[in-house]
Amino acid sequence: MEKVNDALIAAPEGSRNDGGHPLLGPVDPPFLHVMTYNLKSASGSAPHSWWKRRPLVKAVLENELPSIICTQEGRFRQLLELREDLDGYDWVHLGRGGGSRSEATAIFWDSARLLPLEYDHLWLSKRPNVIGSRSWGSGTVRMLTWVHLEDRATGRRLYVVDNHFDHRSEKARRKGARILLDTVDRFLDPVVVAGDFNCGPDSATYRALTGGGLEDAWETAAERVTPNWATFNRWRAKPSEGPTRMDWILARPSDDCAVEIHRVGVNAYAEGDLTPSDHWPVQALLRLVPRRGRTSHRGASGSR
Amino acid sequence: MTTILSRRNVLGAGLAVGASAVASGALAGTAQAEEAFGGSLIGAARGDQLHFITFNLRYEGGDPAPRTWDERRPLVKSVLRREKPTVLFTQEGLYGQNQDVLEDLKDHDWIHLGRLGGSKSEATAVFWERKRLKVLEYDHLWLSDTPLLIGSKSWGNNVVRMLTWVRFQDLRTGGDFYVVNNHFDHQSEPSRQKGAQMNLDVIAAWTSPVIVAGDFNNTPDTPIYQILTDGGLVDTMLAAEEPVTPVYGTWNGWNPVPTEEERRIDWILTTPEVRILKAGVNTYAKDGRTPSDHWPAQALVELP
Repeated sequence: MEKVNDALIAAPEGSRNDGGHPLLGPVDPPFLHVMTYNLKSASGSAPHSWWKRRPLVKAVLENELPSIICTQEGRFRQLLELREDLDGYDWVHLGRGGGSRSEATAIFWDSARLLPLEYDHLWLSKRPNVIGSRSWGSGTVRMLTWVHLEDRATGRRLYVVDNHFDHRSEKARRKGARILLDTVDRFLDPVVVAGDFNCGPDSATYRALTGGGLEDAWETAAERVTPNWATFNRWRAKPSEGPTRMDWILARPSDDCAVEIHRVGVNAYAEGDLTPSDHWPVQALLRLVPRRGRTSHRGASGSR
Repeated sequence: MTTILSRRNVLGAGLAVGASAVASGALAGTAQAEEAFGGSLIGAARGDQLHFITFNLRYEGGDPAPRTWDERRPLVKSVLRREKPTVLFTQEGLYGQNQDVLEDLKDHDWIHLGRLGGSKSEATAVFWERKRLKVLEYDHLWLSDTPLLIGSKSWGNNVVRMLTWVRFQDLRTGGDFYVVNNHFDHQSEPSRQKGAQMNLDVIAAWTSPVIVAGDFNNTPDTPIYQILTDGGLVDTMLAAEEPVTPVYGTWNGWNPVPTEEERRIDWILTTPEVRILKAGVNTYAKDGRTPSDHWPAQALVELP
């Protein structure tokens, strides 16, 4: 049977500061659990230093055990520590400054569940294949990372794209959205796009992406398991609703496969006054559903 | 599940590169190599020793039976399981091929980036024993005038060439060291010479011991060997306190009978402070079949 984790049904709406109840928690096939998480770079100082936050991030991840985690801002050593804290995940990494340098849009996945087929890194600039490149008044170097995954349990495939858009330049965000849309337009399997977009749903960037066929899981989910928390929490342990829901999970079906969003939520786990990061992670429970009777150029059951 | 097969379909055939396979008429003298040593040539490193292997895997998809990757993979696995390298350098491996190697090694982690970006084309991948080593830094550079331009070439080589370097911390001794994995061009001598110079430029800033390995696509009587050794690098095969094999050519062209007349184009070089205990060319073959069209080269060293 298709079973959604029962624990989440017991989770009261907007529950927080409660390590015992995951927001979504581990899921069984055919469900997939996707998280996007701006970890906040480990350069932060007290009281928000990484060594203090690391156990909280670990608690969130161990509690939730997402199938796929799209991270932003993680530095190489920080991500290695996260990897040490989290058994059973594989990943793809490249720092935006090249190699291990600077922050990354690293993607982690449950290696028992998912098999990587392809991946790539693109810089959000006029020259996406130049490592460390920057354009359009971008406040810093920005990039995206994508991976093509196959679900070992169901044989279905999806693309996952992890983005970190610029915090300063609206033009850079719009151009970044264009690169993102051009990238996913070449993908023949369903796409899940996640990341820190550094702007709210009232932005031109959001309109460009949703107008380009990417649907906001927050809007399409059958059930929201938390209020519409602002995902940028500014280190405040008490979540609040506001305009700064800037971390999104978006999805686009393929010709032969729908993406059903069952649940979505913003994870406001904190311990006392300490938040794990200055962003709350966003999580979605989804399922890839083949559309019967539809045939695509690849055939209805993929390219076997 | 048919995940392996399906992955192959997605990845497709690699780009043809490297010298073409020489038809082997010498299969008559076969199958001696496996019996020549019952166990390993060097085997698991003991104490503070470190064991390095450089292995051009021959890209998947370029050869008919009995030289397909599916047929060769068990032979490569046998070599790696027997030898238990602390660090393994591969060349020519495609993404899926290197993932197979990772799976067969069991206790290793790795760094990968295809020479055409992301999972595309061949890579100079580096694998290391997780329990022994921790990565501190890494980078990928293209062997061109624009080393940060993914997929770039400019030195007369028709094929894109790159290097990958990693800085490790030895969890046993606490010391650190660098490794560089290269695949030089098979046609352009100017490209190889500039690549050799780039290696010296890259390592010049490093104060810790360095191991430079790879497929250099030329023999020790050539300018690139001169450039590298004049730059202070020592050829482990010639400097080893205990050579464990004759100085065989590392190119085998699928001939299972090793000879000293063949071209020795795969080297492991070190900075002079490194003590080189053993070195050899691993000529494991089975039923007249070689694991690849190169023999792996091995070195056992101790850092100061």
